[in-house]
Amino acid sequence: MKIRILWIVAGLLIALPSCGKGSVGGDGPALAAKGLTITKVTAALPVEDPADPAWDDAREVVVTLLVQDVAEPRLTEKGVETLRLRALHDGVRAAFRLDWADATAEDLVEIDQSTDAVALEFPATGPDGPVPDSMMGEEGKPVSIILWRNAWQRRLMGEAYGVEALYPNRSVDHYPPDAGPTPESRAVLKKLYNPPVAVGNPMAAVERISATQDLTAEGFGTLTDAGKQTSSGEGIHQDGRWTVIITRPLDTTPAAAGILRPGETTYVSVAVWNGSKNQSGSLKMRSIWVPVRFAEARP
Amino acid sequence: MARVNNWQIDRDMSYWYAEKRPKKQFAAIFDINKCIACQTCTIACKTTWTSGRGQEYMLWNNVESKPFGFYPIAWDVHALELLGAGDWKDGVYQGRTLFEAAREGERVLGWRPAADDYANPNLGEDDALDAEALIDKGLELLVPQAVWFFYLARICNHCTYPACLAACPRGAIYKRPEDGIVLADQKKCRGYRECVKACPYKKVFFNADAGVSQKCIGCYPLIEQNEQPRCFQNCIGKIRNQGFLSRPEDAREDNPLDYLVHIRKLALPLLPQLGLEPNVYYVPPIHAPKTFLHQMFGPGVEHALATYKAAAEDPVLVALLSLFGCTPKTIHRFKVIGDQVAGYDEKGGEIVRVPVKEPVWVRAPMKGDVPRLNVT
Ligand code: SF4
Ligand code: SF4
Repeated sequence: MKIRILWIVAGLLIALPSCGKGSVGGDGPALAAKGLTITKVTAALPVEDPADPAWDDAREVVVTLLVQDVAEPRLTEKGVETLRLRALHDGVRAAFRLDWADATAEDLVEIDQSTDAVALEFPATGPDGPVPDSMMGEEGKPVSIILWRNAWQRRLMGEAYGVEALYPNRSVDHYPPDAGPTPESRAVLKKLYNPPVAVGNPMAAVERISATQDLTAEGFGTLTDAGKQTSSGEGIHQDGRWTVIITRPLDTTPAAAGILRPGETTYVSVAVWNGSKNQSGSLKMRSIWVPVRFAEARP
Repeated sequence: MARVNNWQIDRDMSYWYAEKRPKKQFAAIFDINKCIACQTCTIACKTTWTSGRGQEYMLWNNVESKPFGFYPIAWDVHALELLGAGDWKDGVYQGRTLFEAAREGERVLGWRPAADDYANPNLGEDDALDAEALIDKGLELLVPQAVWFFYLARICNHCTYPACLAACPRGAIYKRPEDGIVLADQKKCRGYRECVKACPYKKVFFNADAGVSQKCIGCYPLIEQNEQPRCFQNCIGKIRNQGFLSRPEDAREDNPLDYLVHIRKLALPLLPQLGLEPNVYYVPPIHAPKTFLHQMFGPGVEHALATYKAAAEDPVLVALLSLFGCTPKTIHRFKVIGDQVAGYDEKGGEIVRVPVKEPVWVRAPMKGDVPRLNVT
């Protein structure tokens, strides 16, 4: 009897989001069995401490991860198979706590090394729009993505990165950009000698403002910087697990581009990269859509 | 996968994108027999393009001593080992290309070098097995030599079917329609390093400081001014000539590249069996074993060697080879005029004229009773 009740609850959770997305019907998106509830907190949003008791109010969803096996290069070796996800909001911002097993923490990228990373993805088709493909969206059906990379967190914390971190004992006679006589001229030369910085590639940004990047996509290979950075994230690696909290403002104004509006339902999916397995780009574990709804604070 | 034609293996093959040749194809010929491994080309490139942070290890141009020199270590050995042996029959390659042999879930059969693999850019430099023990016996006088090595100068091949371009899941690598130069878009690249893994020649490099991949740009700012790239202009041995190559059926007698590659078949592609249709062509070294050269340059080796050995008696060949390294400009046409050879730009304007045979004075070894000590 108990089991049966549980199934009914699960069924309700799947059905709920379809009220919000006009096109979700019989041919709607494939869904993870259990939905995510973004519960309102009455106290401060616990954005820094994953052990904050406020997180106990957020119901945990265990998201099943699948290999990315659609776009080349495909992941052929299975990685971490589940990720635990919780979410809270305070009426202004939403916070997502993601935690998953990863024996080692990697935070540098070289020819033969990659960084650990995690991403959240949301449909960006509006409240009544069609649901995009959970794998990077589709042409005309964009998705919004927040990507957290441990390599960016390391940089944000002011630690050495790139060759300074990888090869601290290297010997180089001369870096031309360092030869500028004034700080201004050195800044100009630094750009001149670094094309990705000169053309504004966020991957190469000298100053990082967040350990996350806000992105959009309309299908594989189309991932693009969102042009505006509103999210932030912080991760802790402990006892063979990553716990990362990603925060993002809620969309409370009536602007059409919102992706997270209290009261409306939507979806979320996640992706995980394991640096020690040299995963990056499309070499990742990913989930299908998980229904999302907002809930008032628990009494 | 699309079906495309690769004239170097004389058959159609599978490639990730449909065949779309550029208006002109950047191409080059390196005469291996003339290279002295001075590395001036390497330094010319290094100081021009890769002196920044994250580029310390990068040599977009490198010169390695074959058979023991590699940059990165064993790049060609790995590619050949992965692919396995493939036969050639009447000039048609019977084996699989790197695209056709791709593993499940990948677009190209590639391998990812370790950072350390780049740490010895010319291991075994000037090294011939047991050379010192054997040289006293006069073995170095045999051609092909029993004990041998040769210098292989390498840049990006600006391939017709680039593996780097095929492998990039973001389409961040592109081939310029105007000249066929292959570039990595520095704005679009997100540092997935699939190109590094895919390029069998290992001519895309990851910049760990910038977080993006970077590669030889064919000195396109010079190409746009009808000038040859830096490593060509600075070549001490005058082994290099950059130009534009036509499809074999469109070959023009007066185009230096077409003449040497298609008409005389003197210059050969590097590892054509990999299937990329690379656009740097080599005049093979006459003193190395043919089996090794066959593996490295394909079945055209015998013919190329015979042609090169007889080149001194061939007025057009000797004239054209004399034009190498004589002008910083790109020669689109050439013409032998009496005992001179002239090079012309795209519009037909003359840009260089040199004697086919440099005048030679032989001075008497003795001046009276005094022997001459200098030889100049
Ligand atoms: S040589 Fe390598 S880097 Fe250059 S075009 Fe070919 S595949 Fe790309
Ligand atoms: S500059 Fe010319 S001769 Fe010297 S190593 Fe380079 S290719 Fe060879």
